[in-house]
Amino acid sequence: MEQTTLNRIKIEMHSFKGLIITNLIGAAFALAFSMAYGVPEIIPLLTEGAFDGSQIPYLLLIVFGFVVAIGWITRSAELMDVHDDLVTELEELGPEDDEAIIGIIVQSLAFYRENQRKIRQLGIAGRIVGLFLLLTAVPQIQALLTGVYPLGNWMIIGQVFGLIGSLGVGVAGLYVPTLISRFSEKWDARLNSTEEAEEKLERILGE
Amino acid sequence: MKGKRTQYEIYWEILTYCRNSRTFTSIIHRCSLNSKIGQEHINFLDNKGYLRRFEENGQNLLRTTESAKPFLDAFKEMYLELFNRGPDFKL
Repeated sequence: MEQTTLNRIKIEMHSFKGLIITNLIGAAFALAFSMAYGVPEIIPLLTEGAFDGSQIPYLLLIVFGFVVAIGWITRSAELMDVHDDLVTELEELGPEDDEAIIGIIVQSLAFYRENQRKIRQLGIAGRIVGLFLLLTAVPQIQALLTGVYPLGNWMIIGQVFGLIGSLGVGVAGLYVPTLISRFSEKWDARLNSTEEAEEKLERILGE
Repeated sequence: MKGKRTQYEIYWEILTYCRNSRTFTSIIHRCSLNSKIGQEHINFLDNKGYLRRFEENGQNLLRTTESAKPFLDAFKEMYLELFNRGPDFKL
């Protein structure tokens, strides 16, 4: 069956929505992990007032994790907000409604032009967090292999889930930038095509 | 409408919206333009003969003319083509 323009747009818009949702989930995990790793280290500092130099990396970890994750969530949410309006509008259109479809194309291009930088930043955040989570998985793997992790037998299930979480989100975080690059390539090509179209339109206007 | 549009995209929006008679205020509201920029675009299209100004029931109205057809047709063809070229982005 021949794919209509409307269907093609719908598939792209839904795919991008999925990408933003993946980013939001990744950011939420990054926030949760940074808290889970950092907070237990910072509590003694606040309750006992004793500052130990060994706590500095954890403090930095909390700050870094928070800043990256909050920035990641904010950017994803901003993109989601505008993009969702387009998706909702798109759902109400029929395949023969050319004018309304072009209206959505114009809005989508305007959205991409405006958010090009923000979309690329999502990829960078994903890569940083992915790497960070994979690094945090290393001591967990070591602990599981050597059996020196300070948790009881039953809690080993929790350890395994924690490890799977770190690895899963870490790998996803590293893969998301690849998807974002693919998306950006496609849309950059479209923006280039609109520049060619502008030349033709300019000629028509000049006639 | 949020985001960065090109002037040609704005022209297309104005001309499409003005297929039915519209007031200046409704055009700038619908096309998310401030009055200065809106006035510039409308004057340009008016000078090209793509928009016609007239008065009806005491209201100053604007309407797209037949002269705008080549521009609108070319715009339609080129913008629909943007999504007809594969491969698409798919998750």
